[in-house]
Amino acid sequence: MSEDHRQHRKTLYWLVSSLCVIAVAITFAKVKYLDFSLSDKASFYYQADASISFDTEKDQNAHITLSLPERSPLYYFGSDPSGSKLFKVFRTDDGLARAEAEIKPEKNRQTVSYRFKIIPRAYEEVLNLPAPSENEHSAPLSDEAKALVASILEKADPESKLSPQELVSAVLIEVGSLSPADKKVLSQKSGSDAAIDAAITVLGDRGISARVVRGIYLNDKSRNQQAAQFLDAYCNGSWKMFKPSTGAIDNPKDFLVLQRTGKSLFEISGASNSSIRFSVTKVPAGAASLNRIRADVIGEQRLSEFSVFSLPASEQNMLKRLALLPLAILFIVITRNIVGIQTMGTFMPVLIAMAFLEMSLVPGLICFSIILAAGLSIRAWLSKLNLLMVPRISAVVVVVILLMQLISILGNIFDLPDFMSVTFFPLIIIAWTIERASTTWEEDGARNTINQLAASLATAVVSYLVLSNSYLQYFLYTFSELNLAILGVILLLGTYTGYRLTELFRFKSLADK
Amino acid sequence: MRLPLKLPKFVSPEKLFESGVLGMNRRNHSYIMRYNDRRNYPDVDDKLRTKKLAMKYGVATAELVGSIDCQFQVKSFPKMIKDVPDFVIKPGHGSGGRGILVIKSHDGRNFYKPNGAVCGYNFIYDHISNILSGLYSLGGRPDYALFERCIDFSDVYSRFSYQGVPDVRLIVFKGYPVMSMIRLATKLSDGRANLHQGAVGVGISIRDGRPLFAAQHNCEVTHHPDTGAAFSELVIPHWEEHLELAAKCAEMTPLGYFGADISTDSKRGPLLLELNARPGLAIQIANGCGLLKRLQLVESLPENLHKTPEERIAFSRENFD
Repeated sequence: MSEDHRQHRKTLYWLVSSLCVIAVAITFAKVKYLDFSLSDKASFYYQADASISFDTEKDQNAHITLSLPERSPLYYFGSDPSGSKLFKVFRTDDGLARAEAEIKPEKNRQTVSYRFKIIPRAYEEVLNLPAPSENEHSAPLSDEAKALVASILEKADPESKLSPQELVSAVLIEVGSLSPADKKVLSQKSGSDAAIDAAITVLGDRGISARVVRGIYLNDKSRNQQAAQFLDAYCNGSWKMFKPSTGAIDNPKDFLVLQRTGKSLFEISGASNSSIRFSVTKVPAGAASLNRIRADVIGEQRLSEFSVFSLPASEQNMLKRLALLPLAILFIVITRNIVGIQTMGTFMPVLIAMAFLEMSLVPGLICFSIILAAGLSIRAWLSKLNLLMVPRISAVVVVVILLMQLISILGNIFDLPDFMSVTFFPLIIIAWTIERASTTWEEDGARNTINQLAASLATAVVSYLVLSNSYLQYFLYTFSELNLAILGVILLLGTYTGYRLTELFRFKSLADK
Repeated sequence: MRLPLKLPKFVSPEKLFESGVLGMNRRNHSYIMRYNDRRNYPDVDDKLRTKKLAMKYGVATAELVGSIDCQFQVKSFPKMIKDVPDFVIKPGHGSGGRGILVIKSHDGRNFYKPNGAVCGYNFIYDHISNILSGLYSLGGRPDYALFERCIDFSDVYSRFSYQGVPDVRLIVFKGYPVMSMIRLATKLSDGRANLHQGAVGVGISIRDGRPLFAAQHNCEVTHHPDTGAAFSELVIPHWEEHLELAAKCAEMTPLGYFGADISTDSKRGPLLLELNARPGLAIQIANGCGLLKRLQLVESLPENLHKTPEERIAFSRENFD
C-alpha cells in the first residue's frame, strides 16, 4: 500500500515538474524569440509611410510595386492594414515580398502611400545573408568604359596590395570625384544612383560582388525623407555596408533596410515624374498592445499560433479575466489549506472578487453588503412560510435579481456608473451564500455566521487586491502558459500534510505540555 | 481557571509535531483519504444502512420505528408512531445533529418536546417535508426521514450536562479504539453537544474510562460552567461495553478511520448513535494529547497481529491512556 503511494507521489512530482518546465520554457521562448516584454512599461513603435507621387498618363492605369523589407536583425515590421488599403502583397519569382497597386488615371498629380508598423527588437538577431551567386555576369563593357575602369582602379590601388575592404572604400572615393560625363560612361542612371552604380561596375571588374542597399532612418517626426543608400559589398566572406560619400564602413543605427537583394525600391509603369518619400512617426503604445502588434506582424510570418494576441479584442477581454482566475484559485487553496480560514463556499470569495474588479472595491463592497443584508432578511421571512428548499432558494435568486436591477437603475439615476455594473455579481453564488448564511445563523448562531462572512469578505478583498494588480494582469495574460505552473503548484499543495497556520494557534495548549 | 482570552500567539510547527498533534491536512490526506474508500461512505452517511449493518453484526442501536421517503407518505406518519410512546425523527443523511426532532410523549394530536413545548400535527408534517426536500442532508440531496425510539438516557451524566444529551465519541483506527471523549452540552452551546458551539469535551482514558482533561473552546476547564460539577468526578459506566461496541463497528464497515458516537440507555446500556467518517480534531484538545503518535503506532503494527476485536481492545487499553 505504501509502495503504491510512493509511486503515486513520484508520478505527481514528475507531472508537476514537467508542467513547470513547459510553462517556463514557453515563457522563455516568448521573451527570447518573440520579444514579449517582461515588464508592462509602456513603450513605442514606429509608423512609417512610403508615399509615392506621380502623374498618371491618360487612359492608362498606373501600376506600382514597392519593395518590402525581408527580415531585419533590429526590427519587427509589418504592413498596417488600416493604412495600406490600396496595396496587396505578393512575392516575386525570387521569393521577395513586394506590395503592388493599380491606380486609375486622374488629371492631377497623385500620391498613394503604403504604411508599415515597425517595432524595435529587444534582442539583436544575427542575419546570415547568402553569398553572391557565381553566375552573375554583368553586361559587357564598352572599350571606353574598360579604359575608365582601369584608370580608376589604377588610382585607387596603384600597388595592387589593398585588401578588398580597403579597395571598396578607395573605389567609392574615386568614383565620387568623377565628372558627370565620366559617370555617364559607367552608368545609365542619374544623380546619386549613378555613383553607386559606377562603383559596382568597377568592383565587378576586380571580382568583388556589390549591390545597392536602400532603406529609411527611423527618426521621430522625419517627414518626406528620401530613401538612404549604401553600397553593400561582399568582402572576406561577409556583406558589408559602405557609405557612398565617405567610402567608410557604416552600420547605421535606427535604419530599416527596404531593398537589398531586390532589383529596385519601387517600380511604376503608366506614370511619369514619380518619386518616393518616407515619413516616420514614433507612436507610444502599452506593452500589451505592442505584443499584439508584434503578434500581428509575426503572424504574417506564420507564427501567430504562439499567442492569444491575435484573437479579436472582445475575446481578449474575456481571456484577460480567465488568465487571472487560476492565480485567484491558487490563493483560495492557500487560504484554506495553508492558512486554514473557513469561508462560506469554497470559491465564493474569488467570484465576488472578480465582480469587485468590474465595479472597483468600495462600490462593490457596498453593493455586496446591501444585497446580502436584504437577501438575508427576506430569507428569514421566507423561512417562516415553510417552503421546500428548491422553491425557497429560487425565490432568493429572484429577489437578488430584482435587487441588482434596482441598484443598477438607481446607479444610473444618480450617475454612479460603478453601481450600474452590479450585474457582474455572480447571482447564483450570492443566492447560495444567503441560503448558507441563513442556515448557519439558525444552527450555529449569529457569531459563527458573522465570523464566516467576515472571513469570506476579507478573502475576497485580498483576492481583489491580488487580481487588480496591473502588472500581474499584464504578466499572466501575456504569458498565460504560466498558469500551467500554477496548476502544478495547486497539485503539489494537494499533498501538503503540514499544519495549517490557524492550527498553530488552535492546538497551542497541546504543545505547551 | 485560566483566563479564556489570550493574545493569539503561535506555536512552532516542530513543537506541535513533537507533541504528536494531528493537523487537518494530514488527517484528510494520510488517514481519511488513505483508509476510507469513498464508496464505503454510505455505510456511515446513510443512517438506515448503518442501522441495518449494526443489526446484522449485533451492534446495539436505538430501536427502529420506521422511515418515510416519499412526500405522499408524510401525512400517514401518525399511523407509524401510534403504538410508540416516544420517538425521534432524523434525516437519513444528516450530519452534526442537524434536523433531529425529539418527541418525549404524544397523544396522536399533541406532541411534547423534551423541554415541555407542545407542537401539533402540522409542525411535525412540515419538519418531515423539510427533511425529504434535503434541507438537512449533505449537499441538499433529497433525503428520507428516519423514526427511532427515544433513548432513555440514564441520569448518570445529568450533573455534567446542561439540557442536551451527552454522547461518547471514540476514534477507531484499523479496528483499534485510539482516543475517546465525552461531549457535554452547556448553556453557551444552547444545550447541544457541538464542541465548536461551546460544549465541553472531556477526554476519557481508553484504559479505564476515567476522565483525563476537559476543555471548552480550546481552553482547559475543571468544572461545568453551568452546573458547577467537577469533571474529575465523572464516571463512564459500562466502559468495557463502549470499547466492544466501537471495536465491533470496525467489523461492520471497511472504513479504516472513523468516529463512533455512543450513548447510554438506562435499560439497554451503551447504544451506537451514529458513525462519522470524518471525525473532528478537537478530541485532541479534550484529551490534552495528540492523536498522531497513537495512529502511527497502530500503523506500525504488522497486518493481522490482532485478529479479534477483543485482542485489539486489549492492545489499545494497554497502550493508550
